[in-house]
Amino acid sequence: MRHWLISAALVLVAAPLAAQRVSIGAEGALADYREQGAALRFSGSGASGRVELSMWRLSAEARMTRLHVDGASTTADVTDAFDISQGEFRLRMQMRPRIGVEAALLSRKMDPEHAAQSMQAWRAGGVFTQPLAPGADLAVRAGYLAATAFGGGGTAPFGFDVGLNVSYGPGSGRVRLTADYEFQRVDRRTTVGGTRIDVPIQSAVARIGVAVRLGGQ
Amino acid sequence: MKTLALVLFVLWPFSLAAQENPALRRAGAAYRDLEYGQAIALCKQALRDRLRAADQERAYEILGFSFAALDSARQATDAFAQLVLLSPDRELDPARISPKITSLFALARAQVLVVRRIAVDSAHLIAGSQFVPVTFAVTRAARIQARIVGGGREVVLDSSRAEGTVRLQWNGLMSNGLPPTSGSYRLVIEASAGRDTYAASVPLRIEAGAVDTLAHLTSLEGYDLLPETVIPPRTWKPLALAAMAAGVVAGTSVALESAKLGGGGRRELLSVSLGTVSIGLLASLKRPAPVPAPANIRYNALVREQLARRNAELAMQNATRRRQVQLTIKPERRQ
Repeated sequence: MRHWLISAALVLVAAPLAAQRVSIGAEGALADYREQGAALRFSGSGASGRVELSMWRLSAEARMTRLHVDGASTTADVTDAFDISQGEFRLRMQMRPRIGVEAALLSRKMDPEHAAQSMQAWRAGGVFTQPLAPGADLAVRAGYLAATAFGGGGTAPFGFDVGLNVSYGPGSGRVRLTADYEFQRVDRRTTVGGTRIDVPIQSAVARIGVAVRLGGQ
Repeated sequence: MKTLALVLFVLWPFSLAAQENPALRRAGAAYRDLEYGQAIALCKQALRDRLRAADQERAYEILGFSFAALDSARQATDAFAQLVLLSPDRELDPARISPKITSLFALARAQVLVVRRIAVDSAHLIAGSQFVPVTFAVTRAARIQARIVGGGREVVLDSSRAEGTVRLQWNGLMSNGLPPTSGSYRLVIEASAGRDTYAASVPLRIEAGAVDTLAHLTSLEGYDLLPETVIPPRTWKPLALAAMAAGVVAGTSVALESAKLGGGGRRELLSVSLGTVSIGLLASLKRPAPVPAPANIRYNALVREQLARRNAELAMQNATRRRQVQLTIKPERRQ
């Protein structure tokens, strides 16, 4: 993951600076994480940071989210709190002024390691962007999660990701309020004692914060 | 006869105070006293003296008037002819002077060859491109030659036979094809008919300078540029779009929720959906962004094209003007 980020950063930095637009954001995050059954439901909060570099019709975004979650089910006393570190590196290309395609590499790690399922996956999907007014933009995205790998093993024939992003920047729009919602469902299957069982994973993360745009128009 | 003399007395146009010669002064007094014979004798006596030009004119005028009063038409005409030669522009007011006298004066003027009423208007002209009018009148059919002389150069404006009012034009160039330099010049008009000749001149002041160039245009009069963007009317579309997007994502999320993992706990979805709708509301209340006005853009392009074409024409005209000379011609008072 780290090698990917460094390589992508080097490629983007090499591009002409005049064509680049950089956006840096810091957000507070709320999270709801569930896996296996209704008993393993966690909720919590944390912080998130992101850097986005846009150039011509391409954009690349790296995002890191750190969450602390605790049991939220009626049987929460049997669950321990843990931390989730979630990283994402995304490449997007605008095919039309309002329609783009994107590919992303996701990584979710738990601390302690076996508190919940760590996960790594590719996401491929599309995004629809709609300007609402000068300085106000809306984006809806959907993607399929593929090549999913879990810390505890297993496969996931179905995984889906839905997102909503909105931003508003009064004046020149260099400083923007941002809100981002991300919902993931992964139908993980594993085999225990020769029996295949379903252990689905579902997460919802809301991020609300501020982003600053540097360079460009 | 007495009536005519009375009219002449009443309309006597001369100011006695200006008469210096004693004989001429007495001639004026004799004329007023209707002593025409004495007035004629005194005028002839005065004319034998050295009189100023103005006094000579008066003497011949009194002579003409007196001979006319005595019905001596030939002698009156001779006296008026001398008066016309001395003062070609002299006119008698037909509203105040007896028709008998004015007709004799006109007869005298037709008998002598003079050039009268020379007029050159003050003018600004571009040498070689524009003209300054010159007008004068010749009392008899004669060959006339009009020239402008000065600064060691001259140019002939016209040389032909003419009678009555003559109108000529000068294009501001001397005989060598070049405009004159600044200085004093004279318009000389010579007339000849048989053995009679007459010459008159008018002094002119000519100033030569550069021709003003034309300023480039920044706009076309009556064709102002139009705004290329217009602000559309306020709309609730941003709020509707935001609510629809939030609804689609919320509906999809709820639909994708796993039944096995249980429901509830949608604070993340609700918080971002609420934020989205709020931003949609803000965007709806915000002043709409200007949008391009294609018709105005096309109109402005046409106006700019015309402006560029007009400025190109002005640049060509200015290139020509920089090679031209502006003349300012002003007639000076005759000596």
